[in-house]
Amino acid sequence: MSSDTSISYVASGQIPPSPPPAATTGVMGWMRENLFDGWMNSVLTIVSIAAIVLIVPPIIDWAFLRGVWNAGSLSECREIVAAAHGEGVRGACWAVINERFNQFLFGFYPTHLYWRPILAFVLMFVALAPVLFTQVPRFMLWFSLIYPVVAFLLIWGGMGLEPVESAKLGGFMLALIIGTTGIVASLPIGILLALGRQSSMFFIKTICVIFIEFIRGVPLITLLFVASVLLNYFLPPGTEFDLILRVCIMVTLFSSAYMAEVIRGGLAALPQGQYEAADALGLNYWKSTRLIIMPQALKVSIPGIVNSFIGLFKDTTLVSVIGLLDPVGLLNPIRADSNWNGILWELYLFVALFFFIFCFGMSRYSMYLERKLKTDR
Amino acid sequence: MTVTTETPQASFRIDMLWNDSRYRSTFLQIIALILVLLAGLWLVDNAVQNLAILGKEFSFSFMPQPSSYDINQRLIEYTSRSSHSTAAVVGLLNTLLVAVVGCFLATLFGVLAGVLRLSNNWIVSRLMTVYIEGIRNIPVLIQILLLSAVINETLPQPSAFRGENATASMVLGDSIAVTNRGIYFPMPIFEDGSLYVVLAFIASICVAVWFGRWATRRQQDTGEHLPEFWIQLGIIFGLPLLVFLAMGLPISLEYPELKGFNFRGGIYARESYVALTLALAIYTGAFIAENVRAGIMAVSKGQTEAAFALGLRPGRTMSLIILPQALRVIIPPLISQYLNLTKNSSLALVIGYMDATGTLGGITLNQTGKEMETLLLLMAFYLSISLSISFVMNLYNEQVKLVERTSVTGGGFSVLQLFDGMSGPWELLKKGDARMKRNFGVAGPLNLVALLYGATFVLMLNYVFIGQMEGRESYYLWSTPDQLASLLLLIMSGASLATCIFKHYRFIDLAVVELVAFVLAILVGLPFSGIALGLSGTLVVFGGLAARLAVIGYTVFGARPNVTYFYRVREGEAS
Repeated sequence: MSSDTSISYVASGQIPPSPPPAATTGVMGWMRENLFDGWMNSVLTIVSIAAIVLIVPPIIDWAFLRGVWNAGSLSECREIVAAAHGEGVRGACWAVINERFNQFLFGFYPTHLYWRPILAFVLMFVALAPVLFTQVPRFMLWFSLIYPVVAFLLIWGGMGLEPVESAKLGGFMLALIIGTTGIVASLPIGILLALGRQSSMFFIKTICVIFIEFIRGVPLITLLFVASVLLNYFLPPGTEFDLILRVCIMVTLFSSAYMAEVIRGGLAALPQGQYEAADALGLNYWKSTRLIIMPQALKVSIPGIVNSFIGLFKDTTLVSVIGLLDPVGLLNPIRADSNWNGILWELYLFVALFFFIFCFGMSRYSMYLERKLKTDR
Repeated sequence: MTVTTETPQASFRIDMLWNDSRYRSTFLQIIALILVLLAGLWLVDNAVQNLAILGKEFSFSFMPQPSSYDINQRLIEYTSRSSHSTAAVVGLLNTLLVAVVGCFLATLFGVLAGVLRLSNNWIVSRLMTVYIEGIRNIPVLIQILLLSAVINETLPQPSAFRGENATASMVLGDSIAVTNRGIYFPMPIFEDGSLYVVLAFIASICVAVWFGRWATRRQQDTGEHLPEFWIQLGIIFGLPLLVFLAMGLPISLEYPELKGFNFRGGIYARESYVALTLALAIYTGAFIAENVRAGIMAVSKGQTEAAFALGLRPGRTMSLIILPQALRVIIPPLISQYLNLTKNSSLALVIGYMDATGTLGGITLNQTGKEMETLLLLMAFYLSISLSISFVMNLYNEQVKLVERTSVTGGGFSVLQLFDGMSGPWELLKKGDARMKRNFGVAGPLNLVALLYGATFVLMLNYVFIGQMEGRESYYLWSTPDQLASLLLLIMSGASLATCIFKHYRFIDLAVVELVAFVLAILVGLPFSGIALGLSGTLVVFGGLAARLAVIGYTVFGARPNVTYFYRVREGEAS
């Protein structure tokens, strides 16, 4: 056998593997696979790149390179841009944000009292921490429990603090107040409604179904109209009721109906066996709900719950329609101001960015929570 | 050896109401009912007192009075002398216009973005992620305001189109003008003979549908596949085109022209309408894109592989294997997105588009000071849209639902449980029903009833909202109970119409409840409140009554319901 090696046309060793073709590895390969895979994809890629090149650089130029941060009016802004970059060139006038920043944050809240909402805002995180993250010590939950009272006192005053009228509240502070109230209060109400809708008791079920379907069937704006013009009719004559409080109540009711549907989805996703097992253990209704059903149902419905939180927070902008000065409600007065008449993108982009940061943050948090709670697989 | 235990006959003690499971649920329900009734009474009582203090009366009598305001976009005839009710109808139609066009565009954007986000093209999928995440996380109100402001301030004015050195020009061969006052499209003008073209178009659609069925049957019989889509396309467009040419081009386009300060002619889409529709479509499109993506990803990869193993090409794998399964996941959230779009269209108020919220809940409310009445009507309008959309969704869910393990603990109460154990003539009727059911679930005799009902419904709608009928005041005083009764009747006849058309077992409950409500309405006093009825009123009331009885009779006695339906675990409603 070994003599065969002398035969010249038989290979004596193994040929080393040749490297893959250059077109399938490295950057080229990645591009071929991900960008130019077939003519359709190539066209799409080229169109997208063209769109990005056409759109993005001018926006960066406009917003950052030619943006003006310090000016007293729009015409001053334009002069500064014209002086720096030549006549007819447009640049962002962020000066309006700069000038109205406090108004955007606090509305017409008295300037010397700004520390109170700021403190309330910081304390909100302290109160939220034990709820959101399990690593935080449990006794902090007591603070979370009394936080609403503390925040109310800080913002509206009372108990020795200088009182502030509701009409002076505005800006992002107002959006946060309405949003957090709705979010915090709607979850428990939503859970109760969802349980009521699943209940075997006919009347309770009917009441819950009617409530949920009614609220979900009408736009929030009509409910806000109800809050602003109609709610007083249904209260005893002479009752004076703060508009922001009325709006908070309506927003909470609105949100709780959606929450109920999300949680009902979670309840329906539980296998029948879980209910039967809880019954077999001899747990009564509330115990089985609290210990067996709810923990699982809530876990399943977390993405939906956070989604409806996000929806609620975005919906707080609607209060501008009934005349509250939330960030969107502040836009028109600013645009009507003779100094800033004609300003457009800067204001909208700023407000949009604020909401984007909050909503995007919440959706990321829900993804984190989903991963953390995923116990199976 | 058997042991029997004597259960002691315990006498009833008061604490058994909440300790004994036999009584507890009834007891709790009674408590809840009493509480709800008390709360309702309290609210109504407060409202009555407050109205008395303000000297107002709960009455819809402002509805037939002249509105004396103008509406800039109207689909039906309307002037400032028309009634508030006509104004409301104009607003409703505007809402529906935005909703329909918006839903169409949103689906287009959403499907495109959803599919592209799943594409293996890196840059395109990233771009779509930016679109979806960016739009979804910004309030729609800001987007509407921004788009409206952009259209107002950056698009050219109509005057920019004028003269030798015009700074703006019309697009698509001088047919579409995009201005800051809105978009002007060419309008088709139908001349003599165009009727035949339209008829040919309708006929060609029928032929195409018939051809589709025939091709499917043929494929099932022989296994041969025809290029169905292209042939259908050819039929739909070819036939009308032939007729169009043969009749000597009877349909022409009227192009918008610049006259004076503005464009004239053509179809005019107002700037507020364009802004609202586009903003809603972009916003809702981002949500739909996520639904589409989730739906396609929900179909497991094994399905694609199995299809490939069977030798199906990618295109047919998509249309025959993936899409039918994905659609079951996509459609329910898609429809609820449509619902959201419709509800969000109420934001039209902020940019001055006169939808239902702008007319009924805006100017009419402010002019008449009738907050309660207008808001009630407004809510009823949105509620009926929402309920009918979710009704369609439920029907769809029923059809596509996978049949699951049944359970006796779930489900609800149905009057029909009472009929469960019966047999006999039911069987015969059931067979008859199944035979009739083929044509869209409408059984033969019911077609007539449905027709009657449709007519009644339209008549009532006209009667309550639009019709300024001659001598109305004389026999119809519009006092509160009358109005409530007629509104109730209107809703009820709408419900019966649905019952007829969709004759689904679920609605038998509805029909029974409706009968009760009808009797109540009569008791409350509508037709017999001592005032003689006109001829139309008599027709409405008695025609409605006859049709209603017929429907209820048919639905209750004509087909024995499948009671297990009520106990099925409703998987489709979980999400």
